Amino acid sequence: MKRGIQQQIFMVLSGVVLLFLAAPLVSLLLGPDLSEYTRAASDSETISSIKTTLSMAFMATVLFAVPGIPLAWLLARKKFMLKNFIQGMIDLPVVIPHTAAGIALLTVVSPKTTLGSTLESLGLSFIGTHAGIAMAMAFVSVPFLINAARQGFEMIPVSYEKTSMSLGLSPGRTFFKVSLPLARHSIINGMIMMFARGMSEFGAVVIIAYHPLTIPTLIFERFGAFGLDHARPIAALFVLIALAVFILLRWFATRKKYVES
Amino acid sequence: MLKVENISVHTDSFRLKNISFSIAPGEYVVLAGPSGAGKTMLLETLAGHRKPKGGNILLNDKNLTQYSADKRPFTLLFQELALFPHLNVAENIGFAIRDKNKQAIIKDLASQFSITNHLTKKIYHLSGGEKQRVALARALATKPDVLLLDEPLTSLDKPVKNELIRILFRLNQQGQTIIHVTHDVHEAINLADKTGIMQNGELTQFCSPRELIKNPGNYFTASFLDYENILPLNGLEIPEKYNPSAYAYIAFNSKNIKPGKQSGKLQITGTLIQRPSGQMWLESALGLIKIQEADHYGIHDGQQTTISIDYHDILFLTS
Repeated sequence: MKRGIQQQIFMVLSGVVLLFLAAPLVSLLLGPDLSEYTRAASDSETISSIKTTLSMAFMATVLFAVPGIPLAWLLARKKFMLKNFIQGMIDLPVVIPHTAAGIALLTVVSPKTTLGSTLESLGLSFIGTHAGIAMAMAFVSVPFLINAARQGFEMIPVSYEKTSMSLGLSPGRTFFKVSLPLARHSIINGMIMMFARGMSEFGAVVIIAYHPLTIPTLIFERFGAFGLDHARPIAALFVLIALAVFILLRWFATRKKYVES
Repeated sequence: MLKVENISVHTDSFRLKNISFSIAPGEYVVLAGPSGAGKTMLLETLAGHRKPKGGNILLNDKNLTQYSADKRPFTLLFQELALFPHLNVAENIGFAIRDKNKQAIIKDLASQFSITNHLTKKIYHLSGGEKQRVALARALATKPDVLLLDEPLTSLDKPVKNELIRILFRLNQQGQTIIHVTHDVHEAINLADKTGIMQNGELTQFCSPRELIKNPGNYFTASFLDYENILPLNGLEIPEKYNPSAYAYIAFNSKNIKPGKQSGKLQITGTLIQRPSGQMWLESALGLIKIQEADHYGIHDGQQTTISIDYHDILFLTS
């Protein structure tokens, strides 16, 4: 069948975007040869950075899901004062430069501040620590979780929750037996997005904790010190790992959907 | 005994005003009214999902007004049923059962509602009628003192509707108190022990269906009850013994209209209009009047004629 002119133009335009996205990634992945991949994968600093990146992104996601999901439910279900302001505040870390986000965090948890020094006296330091990395990752990525979960809760008809309460379940039990399972798909998607965004964070992390090295910081360091040839295999390896993690998580999330037409 | 006393609910765009009625145990009450009359809001208030601005809800003299939804012995069944899609039929029915004989209760209810063969099915594999039965079984699993039904018969196929009507009748016969809201006045008349008419957030009438038909009282209720002809009283010569100054409208049905001038009856003159279906209308100075088929009149489309209605067949209505 002959395609219309509009469809042909759209296909060309789509091709431009796809090429723009695919070319650097394909070039990156095809650049290093097998020995360079092997060397990068056996480099202890690279392995340590990968572990730090994945584990801290995971920690940040899990820890902030605990308060983030109830906040998402409140935003989806309740009317309250300053709701729009709070929603704007949640979105803010996504739009500000992430180095600025790192500086903002530093003004709160630096040992020079009251809170920072108090936390440090309690043995909790954020500057140059794993905790600092997780915090910086969480700061810039938690909006993805909150917004996805909020949309998930909004999609559930209120009548489900009202029915549960009318059947005698408390609001708390209703949340766990109705709201959470029905919004599960959106929440898991949000957690995947938060995890992915967290592990790729550079700007805020590098301000709070240059060391221990995360992969984005290691790539930056290798590129600055040794140039493209040394940075590229690590970057390529990380892209492959990220891709594998993403596919695995997506598969897990879409295994079972609760969809009611 | 359920007593609803002066319940008022205010939202940004709607007000439920001083609703009062009482229901004896085992009664079937249907509250009818058009969309936007406040029926669902009233049900949600009774169920505890909305806080009233004023008034009381008492069950056997116990004031439930401040009780949250989960603490009230009422179960609200929404029009969309709200069957949980992440649970199967048995899990839906047993959702709120905390009894140690939970499985036996589920089986018993499933048997009662003829859904035993569907217990392991997901909700989206059920037909409309099966979903209705599952929702009712789930609602009754908690043994509510009052079952609140929001438009349960709306948008159902005729066979499913008839089946559900039988189920509701049977439940009521077994002693279940039911409050059922609908926009279909026929449901109200056919099912109810008591019928309420709601209009613009007010309960304008609350009586037996028979009383309601006999005396709809005002223009709104009469029009809601499908009276065929409702005309303004202005310009009609009504004997003083009917106290015409107290009313604004009259209502009558076409079956009570007699052709020709008959003394001692209300007479209206106009031009006949015959539709292709055979339906006849009389175009009068008061408006169009639906009358019976042409054979009764022996005259044709476009001719002038007079009709007569016995005053005893006329309802006098306030505005």
